[in-house]
Amino acid sequence: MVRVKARQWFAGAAIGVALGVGAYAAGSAISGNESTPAAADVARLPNAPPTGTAPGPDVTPLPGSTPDTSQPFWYVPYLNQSYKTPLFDGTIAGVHIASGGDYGLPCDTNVTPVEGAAGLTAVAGTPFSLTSSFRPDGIASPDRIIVGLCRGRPVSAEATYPVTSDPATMRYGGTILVFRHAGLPVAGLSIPRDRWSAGAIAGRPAAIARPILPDIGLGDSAVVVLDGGVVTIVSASGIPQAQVEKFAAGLFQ
Amino acid sequence: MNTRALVIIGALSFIAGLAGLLNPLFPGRAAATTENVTLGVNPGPDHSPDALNCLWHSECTSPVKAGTALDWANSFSANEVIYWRSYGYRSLGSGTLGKGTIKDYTGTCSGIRVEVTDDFGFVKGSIYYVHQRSWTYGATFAINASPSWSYTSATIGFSWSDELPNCKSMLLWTGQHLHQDAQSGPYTPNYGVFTSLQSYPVDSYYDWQYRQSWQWNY
Repeated sequence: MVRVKARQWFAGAAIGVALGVGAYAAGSAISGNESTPAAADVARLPNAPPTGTAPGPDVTPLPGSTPDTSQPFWYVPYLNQSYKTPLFDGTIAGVHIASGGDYGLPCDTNVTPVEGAAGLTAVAGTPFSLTSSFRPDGIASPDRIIVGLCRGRPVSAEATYPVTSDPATMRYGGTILVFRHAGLPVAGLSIPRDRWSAGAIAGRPAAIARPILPDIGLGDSAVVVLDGGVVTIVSASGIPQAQVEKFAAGLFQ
Repeated sequence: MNTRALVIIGALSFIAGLAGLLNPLFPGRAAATTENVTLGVNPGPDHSPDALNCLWHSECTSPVKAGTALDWANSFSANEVIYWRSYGYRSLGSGTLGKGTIKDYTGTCSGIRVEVTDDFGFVKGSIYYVHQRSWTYGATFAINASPSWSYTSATIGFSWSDELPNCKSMLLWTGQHLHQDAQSGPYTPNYGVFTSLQSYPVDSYYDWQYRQSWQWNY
């Protein structure tokens, strides 16, 4: 009788230990482990109220420093530094990139605008498609959809996709804009010159502008591709670079 | 080992593990304070009052296509400046609620947008200013807020006296004006105030064009 009871107690203790270890492991997996080595720019929850004034326009990050995103105004010095850098004006991957610009749409008559869902439908399955096969978390239905038709054929298309922020998952949110056009190989973008480089998207040569903080996505970024006479411009703000590139690649699939 | 000791160890391990399982429900630290924040964004024309030329629309065609934008005249002079105007509310603290960043919004037509980022770095959508340009893409300005509402005014660009050929070809622009819109999700248009084609004060607390609210937990 005593030996049987002891086995039962021992088994109960073993099950308790196993359940405890399993539950802790599950909790850690869901919540993330704070001892994990930090990325260059890792997001952390706020832990202080925003009091006082934000850093002035002359405050920039110390060289080599990483942001402490648990503090209010953590991002301001990075935006200040970006604003001090001249904007890019040059050609990468066959596309001239600068602020503004005339795209020279090839049409011998007025271009007909088609807005909203009808615009998305008008360019579905064409090189002017506004729908990516990759949808980042938090992406919403697009604002301001305008498709240009020349005698019934698409010559331009644009859509603005908001990406909502969510402090519970440390998603900062932002915007992804898609603009695809025929005509001149130009892209109207205003991004500092030190963030541009040549790369490839979906096997095609591309101009890529990285965000200020690529992992968090702080700042403006872009992907520009010239393919088959159509310029594809994906410009984003607040979106991690990997997601911007996946979204751009998804436009070609 | 004493069987009672084993049982106690097992029970303590289970409790500790359960705490780990519940950890995601209380991430990092318990939220001790909740602060309510509201941002009201006013019209952006240079002068107040200014004439409203087209009621709520997406494009001001005939008939008007329904939408959340308003067209302001802003045509006292060529290339007339436009402003960010807002009233910010915070239930607990005074200072700012975030930053506005001026961004290039060129597509079919020229445009700029102001992206709102709260003090903690979370984006709270954009206000769109179409047919406009700026000299200061990437510049930021503080958006003031307090329990008694704080006003902010900042020059962000100008209403272009011309437009891109593509925009004109689509008949989306017929002369200098300010087409002001907002990201549809977070912002609520003030349909109750701007109900007729007339002049409105553009810097009044009551004449906000879009508004949104959120909470901070820290």
